[in-house]
Amino acid sequence: MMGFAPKQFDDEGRLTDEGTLKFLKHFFDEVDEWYAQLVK
Amino acid sequence: MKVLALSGSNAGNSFNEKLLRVIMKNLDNKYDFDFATVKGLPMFKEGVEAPQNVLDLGKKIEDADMVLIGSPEQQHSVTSALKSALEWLSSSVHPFHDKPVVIVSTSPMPQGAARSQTRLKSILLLQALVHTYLTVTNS
Repeated sequence: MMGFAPKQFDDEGRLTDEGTLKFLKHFFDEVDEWYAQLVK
Repeated sequence: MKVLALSGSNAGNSFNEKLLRVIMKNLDNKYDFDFATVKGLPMFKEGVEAPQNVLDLGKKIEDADMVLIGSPEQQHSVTSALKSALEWLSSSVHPFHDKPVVIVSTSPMPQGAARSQTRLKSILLLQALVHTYLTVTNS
């Protein structure tokens, strides 16, 4: 859930906050762990 | 891993589609992404065969190892476009059966479409179609 969407993207569609991108990458590491459990 | 990024928006300038494209761009080294949208799909009608564009979307979902849904919020719920697509995809075809699904969302409001995520998770679980994983991103 990412609030204040109009402020989160620049004109090129990139995230304006590096911290959000860092969090997303961390989140998908957790997704990978979850997926590995599902297919084990 | 093949991941289908599915936009649940039919808006012309969707923030949730932007979020999906950010994820696709920044994680293309670890996932094989494909993109799809519910935009343009007809409204679900019970008793009618699913049209070809719905069947095509169903095939993309079937072919994916995981589906990543960008789910906007309307009226404290998912968009009617996404709900309609899910109705098509749980009637004549069932591509979400046992399909891992990840939900992300964003919105202009501070909650970031949290209620859409909760509602979508409920819809998917009620249909016993998917495994869900609720995301919390920076707000």
